[in-house]
Amino acid sequence: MLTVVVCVGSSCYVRGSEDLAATFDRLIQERNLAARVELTGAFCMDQCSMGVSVRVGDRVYRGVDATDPVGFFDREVMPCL
Amino acid sequence: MERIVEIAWDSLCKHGEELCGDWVKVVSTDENLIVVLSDGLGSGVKANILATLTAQIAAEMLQKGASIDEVVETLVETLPECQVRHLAYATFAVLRIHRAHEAYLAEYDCPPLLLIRAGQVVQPPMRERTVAGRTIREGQFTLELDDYLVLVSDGYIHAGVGGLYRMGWGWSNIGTAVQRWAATRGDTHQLVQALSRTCLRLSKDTPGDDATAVAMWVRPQRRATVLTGPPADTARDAEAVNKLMAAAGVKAICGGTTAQMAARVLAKPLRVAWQPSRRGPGRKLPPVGLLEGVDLVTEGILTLSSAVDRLRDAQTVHDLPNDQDAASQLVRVLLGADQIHFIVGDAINPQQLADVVRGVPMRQIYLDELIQKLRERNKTVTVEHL
Repeated sequence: MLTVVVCVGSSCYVRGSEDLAATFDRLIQERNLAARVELTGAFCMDQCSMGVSVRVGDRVYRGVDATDPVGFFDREVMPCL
Repeated sequence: MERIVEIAWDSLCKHGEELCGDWVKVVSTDENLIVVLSDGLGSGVKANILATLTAQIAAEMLQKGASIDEVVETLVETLPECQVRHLAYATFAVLRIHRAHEAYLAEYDCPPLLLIRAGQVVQPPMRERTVAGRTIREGQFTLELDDYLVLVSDGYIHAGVGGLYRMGWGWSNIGTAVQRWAATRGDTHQLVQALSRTCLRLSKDTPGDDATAVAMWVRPQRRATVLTGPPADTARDAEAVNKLMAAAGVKAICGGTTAQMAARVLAKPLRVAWQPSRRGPGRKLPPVGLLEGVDLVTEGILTLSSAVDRLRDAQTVHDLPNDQDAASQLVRVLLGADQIHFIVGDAINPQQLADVVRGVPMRQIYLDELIQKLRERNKTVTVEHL
Protein backbone atom coordinates (compact mmCIF):
# COMPACT_ATOMS: atom_id res chain seq x y z
CA MET A 1 0.00 0.00 0.00
CA LEU A 2 1.51 3.29 -1.09
CA THR A 3 0.82 6.15 1.30
CA VAL A 4 0.53 9.66 -0.08
CA VAL A 5 0.47 12.36 2.58
CA VAL A 6 -0.56 15.92 1.81
CA CYS A 7 0.15 18.67 4.32
CA VAL A 8 -2.89 20.71 5.39
CA GLY A 9 -1.10 23.03 7.79
CA SER A 10 -1.57 26.78 7.57
CA SER A 11 0.89 27.64 4.79
CA CYS A 12 0.25 24.66 2.59
CA TYR A 13 -3.48 25.03 3.01
CA VAL A 14 -3.34 28.60 1.83
CA ARG A 15 -1.33 27.48 -1.18
CA GLY A 16 -4.10 25.12 -2.21
CA SER A 17 -3.06 21.80 -0.68
CA GLU A 18 -6.65 20.76 -0.01
CA ASP A 19 -7.63 21.19 -3.65
CA LEU A 20 -4.48 19.33 -4.64
CA ALA A 21 -5.48 16.48 -2.40
CA ALA A 22 -9.01 16.53 -3.77
CA THR A 23 -7.61 16.08 -7.28
CA PHE A 24 -5.40 13.19 -6.11
CA ASP A 25 -8.47 11.60 -4.61
CA ARG A 26 -10.39 12.01 -7.85
CA LEU A 27 -7.54 10.45 -9.84
CA ILE A 28 -7.34 7.55 -7.43
CA GLN A 29 -11.05 6.90 -7.87
CA GLU A 30 -10.99 7.36 -11.65
CA ARG A 31 -8.00 5.09 -12.13
CA ASN A 32 -9.24 2.49 -9.70
CA LEU A 33 -6.24 2.78 -7.42
CA ALA A 34 -8.07 2.87 -4.09
CA ALA A 35 -6.79 -0.56 -3.08
CA ARG A 36 -3.17 0.44 -3.73
CA VAL A 37 -2.93 4.09 -2.71
CA GLU A 38 -3.87 5.51 0.66
CA LEU A 39 -4.32 9.27 0.73
CA THR A 40 -4.11 11.04 4.08
CA GLY A 41 -3.54 14.51 5.45
CA ALA A 42 -1.01 15.74 7.98
CA PHE A 43 -0.25 18.93 9.80
CA CYS A 44 2.96 20.73 9.01
CA MET A 45 5.94 19.07 7.56
CA ASP A 46 8.16 22.03 8.39
CA GLN A 47 8.76 23.19 4.85
CA CYS A 48 6.32 26.06 4.95
CA SER A 49 8.00 28.70 2.84
CA MET A 50 8.58 26.54 -0.18
CA GLY A 51 5.13 25.54 -1.35
CA VAL A 52 2.95 22.56 -0.68
CA SER A 53 4.58 19.55 0.97
CA VAL A 54 3.64 16.07 -0.18
CA ARG A 55 5.09 12.77 0.93
CA VAL A 56 4.87 9.80 -1.42
CA GLY A 57 5.91 6.62 0.32
CA ASP A 58 9.22 7.50 1.98
CA ARG A 59 10.02 10.47 -0.17
CA VAL A 60 9.15 14.03 0.81
CA TYR A 61 8.54 16.62 -1.90
CA ARG A 62 8.72 20.30 -1.03
CA GLY A 63 7.51 23.15 -3.15
CA VAL A 64 4.95 21.11 -5.01
CA ASP A 65 3.10 23.21 -7.55
CA ALA A 66 -0.53 23.01 -6.49
CA THR A 67 -1.69 24.26 -9.89
CA ASP A 68 -0.62 21.01 -11.57
CA PRO A 69 -1.80 18.14 -9.39
CA VAL A 70 -2.32 15.77 -12.30
CA GLY A 71 1.23 16.34 -13.52
CA PHE A 72 2.65 15.61 -10.08
CA PHE A 73 0.52 12.53 -9.69
CA ASP A 74 1.60 11.14 -13.06
CA ARG A 75 5.26 11.92 -12.54
CA GLU A 76 5.73 10.95 -8.92
CA VAL A 77 2.94 8.66 -7.78
CA MET A 78 2.15 6.48 -10.78
CA PRO A 79 5.74 5.17 -11.22
CA CYS A 80 5.68 3.90 -7.64
CA LEU A 81 2.78 1.60 -8.28
CA MET B 1 -16.15 21.52 42.56
CA GLU B 2 -16.52 25.13 41.66
CA ARG B 3 -19.96 26.52 40.99
CA ILE B 4 -21.20 29.37 38.93
CA VAL B 5 -24.53 31.16 38.66
CA GLU B 6 -25.45 31.31 35.03
CA ILE B 7 -27.84 34.14 34.21
CA ALA B 8 -29.99 35.30 31.31
CA TRP B 9 -32.91 37.68 30.98
CA ASP B 10 -35.40 38.95 28.48
CA SER B 11 -37.91 41.78 28.45
CA LEU B 12 -41.09 42.20 26.47
CA CYS B 13 -42.27 45.73 25.86
CA LYS B 14 -45.87 46.68 26.44
CA HIS B 15 -47.61 46.69 23.11
CA GLY B 16 -47.41 50.09 21.51
CA GLU B 17 -44.57 51.33 23.66
CA GLU B 18 -41.07 51.89 22.37
CA LEU B 19 -39.31 51.70 25.69
CA CYS B 20 -39.66 49.01 28.27
CA GLY B 21 -40.62 50.15 31.74
CA ASP B 22 -38.74 47.24 33.34
CA TRP B 23 -35.02 47.28 33.85
CA VAL B 24 -32.48 44.63 34.78
CA LYS B 25 -29.05 45.42 36.13
CA VAL B 26 -26.51 42.69 36.73
CA VAL B 27 -23.15 43.26 38.36
CA SER B 28 -20.68 40.44 38.51
CA THR B 29 -17.56 40.59 40.67
CA ASP B 30 -15.17 37.88 41.81
CA GLU B 31 -17.14 37.24 44.95
CA ASN B 32 -20.65 38.38 44.22
CA LEU B 33 -23.39 38.37 41.66
CA ILE B 34 -25.83 41.23 42.15
CA VAL B 35 -29.09 41.18 40.22
CA VAL B 36 -31.66 43.94 40.34
CA LEU B 37 -35.01 43.84 38.57
CA SER B 38 -37.06 47.01 38.67
CA ASP B 39 -40.53 47.72 37.35
CA GLY B 40 -41.34 51.40 36.80
CA LEU B 41 -44.83 52.70 37.46
CA GLY B 42 -46.89 52.96 34.29
CA SER B 43 -45.17 52.42 30.99
CA GLY B 44 -43.10 54.18 28.38
CA VAL B 45 -40.34 56.70 28.90
CA LYS B 46 -41.24 57.63 32.47
CA ALA B 47 -41.40 54.05 33.63
CA ASN B 48 -38.15 53.28 31.86
CA ILE B 49 -36.32 56.13 33.57
CA LEU B 50 -37.72 55.21 36.98
CA ALA B 51 -36.81 51.57 36.58
CA THR B 52 -33.35 52.34 35.24
CA LEU B 53 -32.60 54.74 38.06
CA THR B 54 -33.81 52.31 40.67
CA ALA B 55 -31.85 49.38 39.31
CA GLN B 56 -28.70 51.41 38.74
CA ILE B 57 -28.73 52.98 42.20
CA ALA B 58 -29.45 49.71 43.95
CA ALA B 59 -26.80 47.77 42.07
CA GLU B 60 -24.05 50.34 42.46
CA MET B 61 -24.71 50.92 46.13
CA LEU B 62 -24.76 47.22 46.92
CA GLN B 63 -21.61 46.67 44.94
CA LYS B 64 -19.89 49.31 47.05
CA GLY B 65 -20.98 47.55 50.21
CA ALA B 66 -24.04 49.54 51.19
CA SER B 67 -26.73 47.79 53.21
CA ILE B 68 -30.18 47.23 51.86
CA ASP B 69 -31.46 49.78 54.38
CA GLU B 70 -29.23 52.44 52.88
CA VAL B 71 -30.36 51.46 49.40
CA VAL B 72 -34.04 51.66 50.31
CA GLU B 73 -33.57 54.97 52.08
CA THR B 74 -31.81 56.42 49.07
CA LEU B 75 -34.48 55.13 46.73
CA VAL B 76 -37.25 56.45 48.94
CA GLU B 77 -35.69 59.88 48.85
CA THR B 78 -35.21 59.73 45.11
CA LEU B 79 -38.46 58.07 44.18
CA PRO B 80 -41.32 59.01 46.50
CA GLU B 81 -44.61 57.20 46.67
CA CYS B 82 -47.27 58.52 44.35
CA GLN B 83 -49.68 60.71 46.36
CA VAL B 84 -52.65 59.77 44.30
CA ARG B 85 -52.21 56.06 43.89
CA HIS B 86 -50.11 55.29 46.99
CA LEU B 87 -48.02 53.02 44.94
CA ALA B 88 -44.26 52.85 44.72
CA TYR B 89 -42.89 54.64 41.72
CA ALA B 90 -40.67 51.72 40.96
CA THR B 91 -40.60 48.28 42.46
CA PHE B 92 -37.45 46.26 42.84
CA ALA B 93 -36.17 42.81 43.57
CA VAL B 94 -32.55 42.59 44.64
CA LEU B 95 -30.65 39.34 44.74
CA ARG B 96 -27.06 39.17 45.92
CA ILE B 97 -25.35 35.83 45.60
CA HIS B 98 -22.04 35.30 47.33
CA ARG B 99 -19.69 32.79 45.70
CA ALA B 100 -22.64 30.95 44.18
CA HIS B 101 -23.52 29.74 47.70
CA GLU B 102 -25.25 32.28 49.92
CA ALA B 103 -28.12 34.32 48.63
CA TYR B 104 -29.61 37.49 50.03
CA LEU B 105 -32.96 38.57 48.64
CA ALA B 106 -34.88 41.79 49.14
CA GLU B 107 -38.22 42.44 47.47
CA TYR B 108 -40.24 45.61 47.31
CA ASP B 109 -43.72 45.39 45.83
CA CYS B 110 -42.73 42.81 43.24
CA PRO B 111 -43.65 39.17 42.60
CA PRO B 112 -41.77 36.76 44.87
CA LEU B 113 -38.74 34.85 43.67
CA LEU B 114 -39.40 31.46 42.14
CA LEU B 115 -36.93 28.88 43.41
CA ILE B 116 -36.94 25.43 41.85
CA ARG B 117 -34.96 22.92 43.87
CA ALA B 118 -34.86 19.19 43.17
CA GLY B 119 -37.81 19.58 40.86
CA GLN B 120 -40.01 21.38 43.40
CA VAL B 121 -41.11 24.98 43.74
CA VAL B 122 -39.63 26.11 47.03
CA GLN B 123 -40.37 29.29 48.99
CA PRO B 124 -37.30 30.67 50.73
CA PRO B 125 -38.16 31.92 54.23
CA MET B 126 -38.82 35.66 54.06
CA ARG B 127 -39.64 38.20 56.76
CA GLU B 128 -41.18 41.60 56.44
CA ARG B 129 -39.46 44.72 57.60
CA THR B 130 -40.15 48.41 57.44
CA VAL B 131 -37.44 50.68 56.14
CA ALA B 132 -38.04 54.40 55.73
CA GLY B 133 -41.76 53.83 55.85
CA ARG B 134 -41.69 51.14 53.17
CA THR B 135 -42.40 47.50 53.70
CA ILE B 136 -39.84 45.22 52.22
CA ARG B 137 -39.53 41.44 52.33
CA GLU B 138 -36.11 39.98 53.05
CA GLY B 139 -34.59 36.56 53.17
CA GLN B 140 -31.30 34.73 53.28
CA PHE B 141 -30.78 31.20 52.14
CA THR B 142 -28.13 28.81 50.89
CA LEU B 143 -28.08 27.75 47.27
CA GLU B 144 -27.79 24.17 46.13
CA LEU B 145 -26.36 22.80 42.93
CA ASP B 146 -28.94 22.72 40.15
CA ASP B 147 -31.18 25.36 41.75
CA TYR B 148 -33.09 27.43 39.22
CA LEU B 149 -34.06 30.93 40.34
CA VAL B 150 -36.50 33.05 38.39
CA LEU B 151 -37.52 36.65 38.97
CA VAL B 152 -40.41 38.03 36.96
CA SER B 153 -42.00 41.42 36.82
CA ASP B 154 -45.72 42.00 37.22
CA GLY B 155 -46.25 41.81 33.48
CA TYR B 156 -45.68 38.07 33.66
CA ILE B 157 -48.11 37.54 36.51
CA HIS B 158 -50.90 39.25 34.60
CA ALA B 159 -49.95 38.01 31.15
CA GLY B 160 -52.99 37.29 29.02
CA VAL B 161 -55.44 38.52 31.66
CA GLY B 162 -59.01 37.94 30.53
CA GLY B 163 -57.88 35.26 28.13
CA LEU B 164 -56.98 31.64 28.67
CA TYR B 165 -56.11 32.38 32.28
CA ARG B 166 -58.78 34.80 33.44
CA MET B 167 -56.54 36.40 36.07
CA GLY B 168 -53.44 36.20 33.92
CA TRP B 169 -50.74 33.54 33.88
CA GLY B 170 -50.26 33.80 37.63
CA TRP B 171 -47.29 33.14 39.90
CA SER B 172 -48.30 29.60 40.64
CA ASN B 173 -48.71 28.62 37.00
CA ILE B 174 -45.43 30.27 36.07
CA GLY B 175 -43.85 28.26 38.87
CA THR B 176 -45.24 25.07 37.42
CA ALA B 177 -43.99 26.00 33.97
CA VAL B 178 -40.46 26.62 35.24
CA GLN B 179 -40.60 23.46 37.33
CA ARG B 180 -41.52 21.38 34.28
CA TRP B 181 -38.94 23.12 32.20
CA ALA B 182 -36.18 22.64 34.76
CA ALA B 183 -36.47 18.91 34.30
CA THR B 184 -35.15 19.34 30.76
CA ARG B 185 -31.85 20.78 32.07
CA GLY B 186 -31.59 23.42 29.39
CA ASP B 187 -29.66 26.59 30.02
CA THR B 188 -30.99 29.93 31.27
CA HIS B 189 -30.94 31.46 27.80
CA GLN B 190 -33.34 28.78 26.59
CA LEU B 191 -35.46 29.13 29.73
CA VAL B 192 -36.08 32.85 29.31
CA GLN B 193 -36.77 32.40 25.61
CA ALA B 194 -39.35 29.74 26.47
CA LEU B 195 -40.96 31.96 29.12
CA SER B 196 -40.98 34.92 26.74
CA ARG B 197 -42.63 32.91 24.01
CA THR B 198 -45.35 31.68 26.30
CA CYS B 199 -45.96 35.13 27.71
CA LEU B 200 -46.27 36.51 24.21
CA ARG B 201 -48.63 33.78 23.16
CA LEU B 202 -50.84 34.29 26.21
CA SER B 203 -50.95 37.99 25.46
CA LYS B 204 -51.88 37.21 21.88
CA ASP B 205 -48.69 38.99 20.79
CA THR B 206 -49.82 42.25 22.36
CA PRO B 207 -48.43 42.37 25.91
CA GLY B 208 -50.63 44.43 28.17
CA ASP B 209 -47.68 45.41 30.35
CA ASP B 210 -43.91 45.32 30.26
CA ALA B 211 -42.89 41.79 31.15
CA THR B 212 -39.42 40.70 32.21
CA ALA B 213 -38.02 37.37 33.28
CA VAL B 214 -34.59 36.84 34.81
CA ALA B 215 -33.42 33.25 35.08
CA MET B 216 -30.48 31.96 37.08
CA TRP B 217 -29.06 28.48 37.36
CA VAL B 218 -26.50 27.20 39.86
CA ARG B 219 -24.34 24.75 38.01
CA PRO B 220 -20.76 23.46 37.93
CA GLN B 221 -18.23 25.79 36.44
CA ARG B 222 -17.08 24.73 32.98
CA ARG B 223 -13.45 25.07 32.01
CA ALA B 224 -11.58 24.94 28.75
CA THR B 225 -7.84 25.05 28.18
CA VAL B 226 -6.34 25.91 24.80
CA LEU B 227 -2.73 25.26 23.87
CA THR B 228 -1.60 27.25 20.87
CA GLY B 229 1.90 27.57 19.52
CA PRO B 230 4.98 25.59 20.58
CA PRO B 231 7.04 27.14 23.41
CA ALA B 232 9.83 29.49 22.40
CA ASP B 233 12.25 27.11 24.07
CA THR B 234 11.82 23.58 22.75
CA ALA B 235 13.07 22.24 26.07
CA ARG B 236 9.68 23.29 27.48
CA ASP B 237 7.59 21.32 25.01
CA ALA B 238 6.79 18.61 27.52
CA GLU B 239 5.93 21.22 30.14
CA ALA B 240 3.42 22.89 27.83
CA VAL B 241 1.74 19.64 26.84
CA ASN B 242 1.61 18.34 30.41
CA LYS B 243 -0.02 21.54 31.57
CA LEU B 244 -2.72 21.07 28.99
CA MET B 245 -3.30 17.41 29.82
CA ALA B 246 -3.40 18.08 33.55
CA ALA B 247 -6.10 20.74 33.16
CA ALA B 248 -9.70 19.98 34.07
CA GLY B 249 -12.46 20.37 31.52
CA VAL B 250 -12.22 20.61 27.75
CA LYS B 251 -8.75 20.52 26.20
CA ALA B 252 -8.01 22.01 22.80
CA ILE B 253 -4.95 22.52 20.65
CA CYS B 254 -4.81 25.21 17.98
CA GLY B 255 -1.99 24.77 15.55
CA GLY B 256 -0.64 22.03 13.32
CA THR B 257 2.90 22.26 14.60
CA THR B 258 1.62 22.51 18.15
CA ALA B 259 -0.45 19.39 17.62
CA GLN B 260 2.53 17.51 16.29
CA MET B 261 4.58 18.57 19.27
CA ALA B 262 1.84 17.28 21.56
CA ALA B 263 1.67 14.02 19.65
CA ARG B 264 5.43 13.62 20.09
CA VAL B 265 5.34 14.33 23.82
CA LEU B 266 2.37 12.07 24.41
CA ALA B 267 3.76 9.39 22.07
CA LYS B 268 0.36 9.10 20.40
CA PRO B 269 -0.45 9.35 16.69
CA LEU B 270 -1.92 12.54 15.30
CA ARG B 271 -4.47 11.97 12.59
CA VAL B 272 -6.24 14.42 10.36
CA ALA B 273 -10.01 13.97 10.25
CA TRP B 274 -10.31 14.76 6.63
CA GLN B 275 -12.08 13.34 3.63
CA PRO B 276 -10.80 14.83 0.36
CA SER B 277 -14.07 13.99 -1.32
CA ARG B 278 -15.89 16.43 0.97
CA ARG B 279 -17.84 18.98 -1.04
CA GLY B 280 -19.79 22.12 -0.49
CA PRO B 281 -19.49 24.87 2.13
CA GLY B 282 -17.13 24.40 5.02
CA ARG B 283 -14.14 23.61 2.80
CA LYS B 284 -12.63 26.99 3.51
CA LEU B 285 -10.76 25.91 6.62
CA PRO B 286 -8.21 23.20 7.27
CA PRO B 287 -9.72 20.09 8.83
CA VAL B 288 -9.61 19.18 12.50
CA GLY B 289 -7.13 16.69 13.85
CA LEU B 290 -7.55 13.73 16.16
CA LEU B 291 -5.25 13.12 19.10
CA GLU B 292 -6.16 10.79 21.92
CA GLY B 293 -6.80 12.69 25.15
CA VAL B 294 -7.39 16.06 23.45
CA ASP B 295 -10.99 17.08 22.79
CA LEU B 296 -10.32 19.35 19.81
CA VAL B 297 -7.32 19.78 17.53
CA THR B 298 -7.35 22.45 14.85
CA GLU B 299 -4.92 24.19 12.57
CA GLY B 300 -3.63 27.47 13.94
CA ILE B 301 -3.71 30.85 12.32
CA LEU B 302 -6.50 30.42 9.76
CA THR B 303 -8.78 28.78 12.31
CA LEU B 304 -8.10 31.45 14.94
CA SER B 305 -8.84 34.19 12.45
CA SER B 306 -12.08 32.52 11.43
CA ALA B 307 -13.02 31.95 15.07
CA VAL B 308 -12.68 35.67 15.76
CA ASP B 309 -15.08 36.34 12.87
CA ARG B 310 -17.63 33.88 14.13
CA LEU B 311 -17.41 35.27 17.62
CA ARG B 312 -18.24 38.74 16.34
CA ASP B 313 -21.76 37.65 15.51
CA ALA B 314 -22.42 35.24 18.33
CA GLN B 315 -23.24 36.15 21.92
CA THR B 316 -24.01 32.64 23.09
CA VAL B 317 -23.60 29.10 21.83
CA HIS B 318 -27.14 29.29 20.49
CA ASP B 319 -26.25 32.02 18.02
CA LEU B 320 -23.83 29.77 16.17
CA PRO B 321 -24.88 28.04 12.97
CA ASN B 322 -24.73 24.27 12.94
CA ASP B 323 -21.48 24.14 11.01
CA GLN B 324 -18.90 21.54 11.92
CA ASP B 325 -15.78 23.23 10.58
CA ALA B 326 -12.76 23.76 12.81
CA ALA B 327 -13.51 27.36 13.74
CA SER B 328 -17.15 26.62 14.60
CA GLN B 329 -16.08 23.75 16.82
CA LEU B 330 -13.51 25.95 18.51
CA VAL B 331 -15.99 28.74 19.14
CA ARG B 332 -18.49 26.23 20.51
CA VAL B 333 -15.86 25.05 23.00
CA LEU B 334 -15.01 28.62 24.01
CA LEU B 335 -18.61 29.83 24.37
CA GLY B 336 -19.55 26.69 26.25
CA ALA B 337 -16.98 27.37 28.94
CA ASP B 338 -17.07 29.82 31.86
CA GLN B 339 -13.34 29.80 32.51
CA ILE B 340 -10.84 29.62 29.69
CA HIS B 341 -7.10 29.31 30.03
CA PHE B 342 -4.79 29.90 27.09
CA ILE B 343 -1.32 28.38 27.08
CA VAL B 344 0.45 30.35 24.38
CA GLY B 345 3.73 29.16 22.98
CA ASP B 346 5.81 32.01 21.64
CA ALA B 347 7.82 30.08 19.09
CA ILE B 348 7.87 31.75 15.72
CA ASN B 349 7.84 29.53 12.68
CA PRO B 350 11.12 30.48 10.93
CA GLN B 351 9.53 29.65 7.62
CA GLN B 352 6.77 32.18 8.20
CA LEU B 353 8.53 35.39 9.12
CA ALA B 354 5.83 37.35 7.33
CA ASP B 355 3.63 36.27 10.21
CA VAL B 356 5.14 38.85 12.50
CA VAL B 357 3.60 42.30 12.31
CA ARG B 358 5.62 45.02 14.06
CA GLY B 359 7.17 42.48 16.35
CA VAL B 360 3.92 40.77 17.28
CA PRO B 361 3.10 37.37 15.80
CA MET B 362 -0.20 37.22 13.88
CA ARG B 363 -1.31 34.48 16.19
CA GLN B 364 -1.06 36.85 19.14
CA ILE B 365 -3.01 39.56 17.33
CA TYR B 366 -5.91 37.20 16.68
CA LEU B 367 -5.67 35.78 20.18
CA ASP B 368 -5.89 39.22 21.74
CA GLU B 369 -9.09 39.97 19.85
CA LEU B 370 -10.50 36.55 20.67
CA ILE B 371 -9.77 37.02 24.37
CA GLN B 372 -11.33 40.47 24.40
CA LYS B 373 -14.53 39.16 22.85
CA LEU B 374 -14.66 36.30 25.34
CA ARG B 375 -14.28 38.70 28.25
CA GLU B 376 -17.08 40.83 26.83
CA ARG B 377 -19.25 37.75 27.09
CA ASN B 378 -18.37 37.42 30.78
CA LYS B 379 -15.91 34.58 30.43
CA THR B 380 -13.00 34.48 32.85
CA VAL B 381 -9.94 34.28 30.62
CA THR B 382 -6.38 33.69 31.77
CA VAL B 383 -3.27 33.51 29.62
CA GLU B 384 0.20 32.17 30.18
CA HIS B 385 3.10 32.37 27.78
CA LEU B 386 5.83 29.83 27.30
